[in-house]
Amino acid sequence: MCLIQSSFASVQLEHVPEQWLHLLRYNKNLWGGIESEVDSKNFFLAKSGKTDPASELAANIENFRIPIENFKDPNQHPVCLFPGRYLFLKNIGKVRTEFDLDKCSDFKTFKDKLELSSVSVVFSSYFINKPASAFGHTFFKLNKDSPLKTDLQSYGVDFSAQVTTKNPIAYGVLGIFGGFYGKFNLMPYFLKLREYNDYESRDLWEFELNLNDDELDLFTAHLWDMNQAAFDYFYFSENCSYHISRFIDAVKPDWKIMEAIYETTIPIDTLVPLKDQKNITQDIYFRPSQQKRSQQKLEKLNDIERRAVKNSFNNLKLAELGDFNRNQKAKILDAIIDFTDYKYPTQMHLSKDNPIQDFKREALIARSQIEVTSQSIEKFQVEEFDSGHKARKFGLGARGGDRTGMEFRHRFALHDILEPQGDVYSLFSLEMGKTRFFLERETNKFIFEELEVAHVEALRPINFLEKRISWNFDFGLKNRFEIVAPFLNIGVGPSLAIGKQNFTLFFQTENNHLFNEYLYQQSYLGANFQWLFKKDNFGFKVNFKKYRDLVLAQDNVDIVQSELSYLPSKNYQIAAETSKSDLEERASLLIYAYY
Amino acid sequence: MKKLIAIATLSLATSSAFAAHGPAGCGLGSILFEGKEGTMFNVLAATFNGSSANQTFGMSSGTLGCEDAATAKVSSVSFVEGNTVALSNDIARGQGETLTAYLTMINKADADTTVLKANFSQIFAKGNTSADIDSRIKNLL
Repeated sequence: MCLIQSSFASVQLEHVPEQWLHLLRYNKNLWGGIESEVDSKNFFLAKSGKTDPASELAANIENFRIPIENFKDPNQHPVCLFPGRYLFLKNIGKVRTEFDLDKCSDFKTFKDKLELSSVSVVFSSYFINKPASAFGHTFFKLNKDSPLKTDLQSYGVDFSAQVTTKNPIAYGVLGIFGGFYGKFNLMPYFLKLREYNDYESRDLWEFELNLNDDELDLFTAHLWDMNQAAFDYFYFSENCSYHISRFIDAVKPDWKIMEAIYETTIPIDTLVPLKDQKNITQDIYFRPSQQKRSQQKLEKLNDIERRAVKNSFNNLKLAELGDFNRNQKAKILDAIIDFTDYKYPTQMHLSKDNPIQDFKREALIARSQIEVTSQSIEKFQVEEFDSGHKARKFGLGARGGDRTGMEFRHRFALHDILEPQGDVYSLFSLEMGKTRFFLERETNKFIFEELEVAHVEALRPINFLEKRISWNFDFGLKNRFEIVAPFLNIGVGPSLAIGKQNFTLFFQTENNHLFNEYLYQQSYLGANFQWLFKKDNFGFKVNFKKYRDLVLAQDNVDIVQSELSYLPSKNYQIAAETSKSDLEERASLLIYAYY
Repeated sequence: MKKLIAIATLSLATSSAFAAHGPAGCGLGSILFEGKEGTMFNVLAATFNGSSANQTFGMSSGTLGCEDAATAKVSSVSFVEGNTVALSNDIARGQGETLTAYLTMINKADADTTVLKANFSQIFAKGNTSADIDSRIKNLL
C-alpha cells in the first residue's frame, strides 16, 4: 500500500527553468518558501541549495566547468554524479562546455547494463488474500526491448522506505511520520515478477511511456542523479506513487502528471493521467496473477480430469493417470503445477525440502516425460485499462423511517463489493475512513453517526479444490444514545458462487458501545446470510441476520438489511440502503460523487 | 532474520559460485521479510513497501547480490536462483518465457530444449543448488 495525500504545489521562479525545479524536487513548503524534498546534503552543490534553486543552479553551472583531470576519481566529478542535470542544462544552453559522459565509468557501466529502450509504469494490483497488498503499488520497469520479450532481462526501479527497525509499533510510527529514509532502488525485474505476480498473486498492469530517445537518455541520467537522493519517507504524503509521478514530471514536465493527480489519494488514481491524457502511454500490457493463470488451466479440464487433480491434492501424491491420453495428462499436470505454485507460495519460493515441493517435483518429472509442449500466455497487450471507479467519494441523501432527515457521507478509500470491478477489483470490499452525518428534520440537529475506520469483506467462493473461508470485519466509532463509542464486527463462513450471484453464510458477531457502561453495550452473536447479485455497473445485496443478544440474554434478534448500487457514469453512484429490526427502521437514498 | 542467515549460510556452504554474486543471493528470500520478523511486522513491511536497509539496491553495479562483480550484469546462476520455480516449470513443459530468457542469457537461444526436458530429473535433482542447475543445463547444451 502507499497512499497519497498530496502536498505537491507547483512552484515557478524567474530566471530558473521550471524543469530544474522538478529535477531537484523543489516544492512550496508550509511557510510559503521553497524547499527541495530531498533530505540528503550531498544532493546539493550550493550550501543553500535545499532552499535556493537559483544558487543551486549557479553552483551546478560553475562546478560542471571544472576539468575532469582535477579529479583523481573521475566518477566524483559533479557531472558524473549528476549527469541528468548536466544533460538538461546543456540542452537548454546554460552549460556550453562539452563533457564526454563516457568518462564517467560508473555511470557508463550503469547505462550499458540498462540498455534502455523504453520505460513502463507498472501497477501491482490487489489480492485480497494478502490484505497488505491493499491499495496497490507502482514502480518503473526499464525495458531492454519490446515489453513483450524482455521482462526477465530488464530492470525494475521502485521507491521504498529503508526500514531500520524490527519493532512493529516503531515501524508504524516511523513510517507515517517520516522516520525512515526513502530511496529509489534498482533490481532485476524478475524479482518484482516473482514477488508480486507469483508469490503474492497480484496482476501487473504496465503503461509504456511515450518517451523519445533524448528523454530516455535524460531518464537514465536522472536515475543516476537520484543515487545521491534520500527523502524522508511519509506514508501518507511522500511515498511510492508520489515519487514515481514526480520522477516522470522531472523528465517530461509537459505531461504535468502531478497537477493531474493533485487531488488524488491512491496509487491506482495516479494511473488516470497515464491512460486518459493523450500521448503519454503508447501501449498497455497485462500480466495475470499466478492465481488467474492457475484458474485458466483448471477451467480447461473436464469433470474426470478435475477429479484426478483433486485426488492428487487430497493425498499429496499424483493420481493414477494411465487412462488418460497424453494431451489430457499434460493438461492435468499443468493444472497441478500451476495450482501448487498459487496455493503454496511460501513452500515453493521460501523454504527448502518440504512435502509440497516433493509433490510438485513428482508432477514436474511426470510432465517432463510427456512429449506435449504447453502453450501458456504469460503476458499480453490490451487496448484499455478500466480502473472501475475512483477511490474517494462523498454522498448526499434523504432518509426515511423512524427518523427522517438528510444524510452526509464521505469515504476516503477504496472499493465496495457492490461497485463496478473494472479490471482491478474482485469480490471484496476494502474501505477506510467511511463517515456518516445526519441532519434530523424534527430536531434540526446535525449528528455524527458513524466512522468506519476500516471495513473489509472478502468473498472467496468455494470450488472443487479449495474449501475457502470468506470473512468480514469492520471497526470504528458509532454514536448511539448520544454516546460515541467503538464498535467491532467480525464474520467468517463459506460462500458459493452461481453465475453472477453469491450466497454466503457468515458466523457473525456484532458489538456496539464497547468499553462502555454495561447497559449501553450491545453484543450479538449468530448467523448472517448474504445474497449478492452483481452485473456491470449494478450491484445488490440482502443480509438476513439472526442473532442472540448476549447482553440481554435473548434470542431472536432479527435484522434485515439491503443495499443497492448503480453507477450511471464513472463519476456518480446512486445508492439505496434499508435496515429493519425491532430497534430501528430506516431507508436511505443517496447520490455519491467520486473524486 | 535467523532464516535469512540460514539461507545465506546454506548458499555459501553449498556453492562457491555465490561468491560472485553476493552472500545474500538473488532469490525472493533475499528481498522478502516474510517469516522472519513475525506476522505484524510482515504486514507492515508489505503495506509500507519497506525494504531492508541491509540490502544494496543502489544504482551502481553489483545490486542485490544478483550481479557478477566483473561484468556488472546478472549472472546465469543468479538468474536460476531468482527464477528456479518458473524455470523448472518451463523445462518440464518444454517451453516458456523464463526458459527463453535463460537460454538467451547464456547465448543458447537456438538450443534444442527437448534435451533439457528429457533430462529434467537430472537437472533438478533433489538438493541441487542454483549453481548445480546452471552447470547441468550448460553441460547438456
